[in-house]
Amino acid sequence: MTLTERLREKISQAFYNHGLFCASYPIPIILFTGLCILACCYPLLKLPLPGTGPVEFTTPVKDYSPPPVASDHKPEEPNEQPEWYVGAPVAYIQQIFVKSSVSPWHKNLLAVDVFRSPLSRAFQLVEEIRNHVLRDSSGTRSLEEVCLQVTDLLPGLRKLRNLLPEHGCLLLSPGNFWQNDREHFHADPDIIGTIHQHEPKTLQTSATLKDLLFGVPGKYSGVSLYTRKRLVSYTITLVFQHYDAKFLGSLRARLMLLHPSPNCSLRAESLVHVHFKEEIGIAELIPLVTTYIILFAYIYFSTRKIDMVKSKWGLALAAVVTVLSSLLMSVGLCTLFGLTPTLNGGEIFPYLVVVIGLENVLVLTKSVVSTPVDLEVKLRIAQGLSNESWSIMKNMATELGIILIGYFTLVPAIQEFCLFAVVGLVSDFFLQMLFFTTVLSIDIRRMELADLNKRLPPEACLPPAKPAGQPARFERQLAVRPSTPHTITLQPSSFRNLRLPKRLRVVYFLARTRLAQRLIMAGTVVWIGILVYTDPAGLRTYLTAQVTEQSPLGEGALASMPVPSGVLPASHPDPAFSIFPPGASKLPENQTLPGELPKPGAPAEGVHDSPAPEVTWGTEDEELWRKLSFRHWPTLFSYYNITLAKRYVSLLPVIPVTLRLNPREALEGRHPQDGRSAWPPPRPGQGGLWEAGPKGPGTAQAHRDITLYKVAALGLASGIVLVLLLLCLYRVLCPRNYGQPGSGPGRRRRGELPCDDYGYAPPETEIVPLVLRGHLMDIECLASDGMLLVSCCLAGHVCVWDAQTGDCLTRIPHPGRQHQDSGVGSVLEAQESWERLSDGGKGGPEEPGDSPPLRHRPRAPPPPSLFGDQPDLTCLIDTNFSAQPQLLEPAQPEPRYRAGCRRAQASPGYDFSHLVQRLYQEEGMAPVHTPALRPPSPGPTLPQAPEDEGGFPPEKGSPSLAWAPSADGSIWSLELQGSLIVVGRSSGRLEVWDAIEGTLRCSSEEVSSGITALVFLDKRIVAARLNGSLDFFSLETHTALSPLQFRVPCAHQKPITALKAAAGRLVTGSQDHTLRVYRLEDSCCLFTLQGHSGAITTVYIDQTMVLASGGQDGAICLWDVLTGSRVSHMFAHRGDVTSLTCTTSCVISSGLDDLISIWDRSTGIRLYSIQQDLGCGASLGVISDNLLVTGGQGCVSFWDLNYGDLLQTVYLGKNSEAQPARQILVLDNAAIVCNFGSELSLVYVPSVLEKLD
Amino acid sequence: MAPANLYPSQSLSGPETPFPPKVSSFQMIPAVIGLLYPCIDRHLGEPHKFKREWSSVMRCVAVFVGINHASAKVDFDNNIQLSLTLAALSIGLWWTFDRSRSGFGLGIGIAFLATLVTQLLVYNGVYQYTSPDFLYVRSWLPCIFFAGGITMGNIGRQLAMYECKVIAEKSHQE
Repeated sequence: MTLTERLREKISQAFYNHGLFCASYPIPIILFTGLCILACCYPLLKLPLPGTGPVEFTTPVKDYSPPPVASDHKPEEPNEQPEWYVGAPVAYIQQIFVKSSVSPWHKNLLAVDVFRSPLSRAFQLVEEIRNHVLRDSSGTRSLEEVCLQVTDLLPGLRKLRNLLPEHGCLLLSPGNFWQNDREHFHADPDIIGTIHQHEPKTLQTSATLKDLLFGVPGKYSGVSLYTRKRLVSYTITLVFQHYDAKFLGSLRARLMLLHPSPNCSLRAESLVHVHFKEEIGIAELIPLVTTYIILFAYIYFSTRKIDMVKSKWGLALAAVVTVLSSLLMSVGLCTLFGLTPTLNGGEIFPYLVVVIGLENVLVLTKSVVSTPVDLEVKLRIAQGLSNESWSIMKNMATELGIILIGYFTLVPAIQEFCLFAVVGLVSDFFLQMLFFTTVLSIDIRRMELADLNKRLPPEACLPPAKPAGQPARFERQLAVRPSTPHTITLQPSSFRNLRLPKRLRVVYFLARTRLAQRLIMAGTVVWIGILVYTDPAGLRTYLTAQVTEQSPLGEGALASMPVPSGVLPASHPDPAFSIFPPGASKLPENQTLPGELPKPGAPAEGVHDSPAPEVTWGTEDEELWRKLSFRHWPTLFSYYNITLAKRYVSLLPVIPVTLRLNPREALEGRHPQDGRSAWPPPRPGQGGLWEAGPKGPGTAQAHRDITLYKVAALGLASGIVLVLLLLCLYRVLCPRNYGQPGSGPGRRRRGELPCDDYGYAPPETEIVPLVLRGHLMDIECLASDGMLLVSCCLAGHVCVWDAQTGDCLTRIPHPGRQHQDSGVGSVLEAQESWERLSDGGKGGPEEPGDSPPLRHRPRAPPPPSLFGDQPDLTCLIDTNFSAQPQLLEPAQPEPRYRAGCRRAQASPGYDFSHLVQRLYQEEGMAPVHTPALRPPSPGPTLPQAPEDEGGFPPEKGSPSLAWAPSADGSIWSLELQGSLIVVGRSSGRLEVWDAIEGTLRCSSEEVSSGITALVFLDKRIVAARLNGSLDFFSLETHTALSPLQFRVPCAHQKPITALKAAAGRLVTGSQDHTLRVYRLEDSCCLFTLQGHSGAITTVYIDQTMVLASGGQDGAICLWDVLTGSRVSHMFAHRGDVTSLTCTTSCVISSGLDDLISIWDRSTGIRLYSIQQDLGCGASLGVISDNLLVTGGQGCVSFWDLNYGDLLQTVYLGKNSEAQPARQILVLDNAAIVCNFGSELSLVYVPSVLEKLD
Repeated sequence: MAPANLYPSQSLSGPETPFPPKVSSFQMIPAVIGLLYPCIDRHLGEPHKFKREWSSVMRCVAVFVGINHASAKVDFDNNIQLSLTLAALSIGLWWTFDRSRSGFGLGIGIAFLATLVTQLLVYNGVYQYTSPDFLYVRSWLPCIFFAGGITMGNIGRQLAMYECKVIAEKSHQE
């Protein structure tokens, strides 16, 4: 075992060093690897490209005999003959290549004359060939005996029945268009139409009928109205079954004799054998396609697992590149060492990929990603590598072993596969170690930068705990933090992927890029382009003509290319062209070519037209069939159900035939319609045929043109209509983008619209919230039971609102006075007068003129001078207020002190001696006012008000009297259930109020320590006090508070800061870093939970017994309440955790760093976080299991909790200087109460969101 | 179940295919096998933990197709070589992707049953072997069936796991 351990140690160390090395010099290593790949792939250039193209082999004609059928391999000549060259070919193909021209050219000849009479000669030639009989000593042999006899055409080719020969020799010529009947030809008024009637309209890829019958590529045939070379060429294709040298020789000799080609230099020496590969049928493709589909599925599922990196796609690409190039390298290396692959590469390739696999790459990524984030990138890579080194090596050894076993199966195919796999594995390992690791390091570095940029809190007051070795250049980037308020930093984790609503994503993507419209436009353009190009009268013809005219490679070059002088026999001077074949015709106007040029009437012709057509034969004519589609011969044979797959045909050297016709013959052969037909004679003065063609288009031509234009216009119109239709659809489907409210110019910055990770900015809407005004100072506590809403402001007012309508039901303005008076009548009186006033409070926006005195008040900003120094504290009500009593205590009493003292001086005579226990309570004692003073009418005390409030404008200070804090101390906690309000005061007094009537039901005042938190659950009230004790009360009836049931005198050593109850358990959190769990019914302490390293600030418990707690150390702990064990522990925030909520799958936390983080509840992994506005850090609420609402600067935003998508942002009111929403309370009917300073806003969730629930 | 149409085509691509393509009722068999594996896992109470990922399943399917492909395309010298190679490959497949005793047992059982059924069909003259080589049985048949069983089981388990997860999530939400 020690050996293994040592080996392991060594490997780990080596990988560590290697990781350091890779991450240090990324660019040179990548370059080096690229060079390696290229070098290893270099031998691949020598390999033939895979494909089904035919292979050729050339043998000399002399002494040719078909190769023997038998497989008796002759070892002496392995290199010369390819493997397939065994046995007789399927057929011998003899092409008789006819070049024909009308010469000399008369100006009164028509364009159609160029090819009509030359084509008519084909019939004569065919006759001659058919009737050729070889007579020699062995007897007579006719064509019928040696040619390939064909039978029926395939049943699917009925329409070609008249055109292709059946039951007889396979002999093809252009005459087949007219059933080899000269009369048909002469009676045909439209030769071109006949020829082209079977041409496909679309882009053609394989051989067409015209190609088959003409035997030359279409543009070489010269059968066209616009050609400037008046030279027609076609072939007569003869297919032989047997090779009969004598017969062929005699045929060649006879044809050459009948139609001599004077300057023919064709050597006719070689026989070309063309072997056709196996054709892949659908049936054979199915397994291959299946394999590839599986391969892609494998790659997809593999790369899907890459996450927590900057660019997922980039890494996936790198992984695939690694595997592919390792395969290429292996093939290249094998070739280099003389191993030529015999296996079909396309077939075994997927298996090789699967064998090599992407696993290592993924394991590496995962390992590196899971290293601590705060390490340096180099170290992270090195650690990740060394962590996985052992498993990588083990896997590789296993795979090599398996392959080695495979090698010993001694089956050649498997051996070869194994060899490839071994080399592939090794090169893959090489690439992983050098290429992928380096790419990964670059990626991680990028992510780190981006991540750091996002995560830093705005003030940068808490510098990140960076290691000392962090490069200094990161510092600068940290400072420039984007200040967009709502950027959500999403980490691409697998959780997100699992839950992504693809449909929505796609729609968003389409909406953003307008992909559909663009695609349709592009498609339309391409379609029109194809239409224009493929139309017979369209662009293609034009282009062909242009090419012919200009390009030296075109037909002109072919025909007029001067024959190389070396090829020409010296005895053939130029005038020899004029020597006409003796048997051709009588030639009355027999003229030499040079004599033609000076002829009057055709001066321009010589300039514009090419020189008179000289029938020349060059080497390129020898193998004109090469220019045919390589599917030409297979297509021809497949018509007769003969397959050429894995077989070969032999092409005999062509027999050149030159036909020279004089103008009279051309005139004689004219069809009567030709004279008045569409094609006027080529006017020499007009610059040639091409110019003449389009200028005087005949009816057919014009008709075609019009059709073309019609089609184009129709296509364009339909495209436009389609685009418009889709635009409309798009608008209908995504109306929200266009539904921008046409608001005034006073809107807030448009540039800073919140948007999510994908750049999609959701629509923002503006709704008028129900503003609940009535409080004079900042609202501190909020409580609700769904029907009612209780709020309490700094001044000590408690307001009860109807949560449905926003009506102010009750106000409890002066709790202290009631305590003193204890007169029911006066309370009711006060109630009445205040209810009258508060009517206007609910409807500020709707009927502002209803109660004039109140109009001023809502406008009053919160007293800035009083609390401007502590903006955060007021918003952290239930949690932070109690969490930081030390901070609050000195902060709050001071202003009160000022207010209270002065007022005490101004209206003396109040008795406030009985409650003096603590300094600030004493100071906070309020003067008791008579009800008559309460209405906001200017009273005698007014002049003091401005001074009291530290620079408050006097006209707004009218209600200042009501601000006086209660004599009982300020309200520290508030709970509401049914119609009962439980109030905990700083004086330690617990009061129960009736929310509807506004009467004090009962109170308890036994301990003077302030109540920091309250729980009111099922007639049971638990109060947590500042001194760490817990009081359990129970409410027997609505009016009677039973005496203290239990008291836990010393529940905690330090003040209790958090208190929550659910599922029969009560949880307390304290500043002494511990949590305690009590049973609610008997106050028995079940557990003391220790785990935080700071004061507990917030606690969450729900019915499922899940307990979460957050502390000042920024950590969140999840506990199991049943066992008291800690489930997980997460470092969540820089600074205090201010609030915590859980859903069934997530934990949502907010911190002093103004971040809201969403965690996976089961794994404790951070899913994403939301950057909040300054001061709105704790304002969040969970509406349903997947809907989160957060507050911002004058707005609330709705988020899809599962995906982290910003769904909607609702702006509350039009104020440009909106206040931050400091607190959000979610009511049962999905209204949200936001606390904007002294106002409450009742927001109903927009209807869009209701669909989501 | 998606893999149902995969199996017959693959078994047809084996050497000297014993089934005419019209056999459609046999397409249900892989589905049954795919269901059987998670059931047995649940029954035995030992959930299958090894390599539970779709990419691994895809790899397994690819290897299975490759085994079929190789047995059809590669010409072996004799049948013993073919059988041994196939057997080694099948066991390798099981070791690479499954490694569970239940999987092995079920695979053997399926191979045995399937060979038996095929044999019965052949005796009844429904199908014909081109040449039985080993105890009147084509010796590659059990190997292919074994590998096929393992593959189908893999797919079935993966699907079942997914289903379990979805159900668990749903029940969690309620």
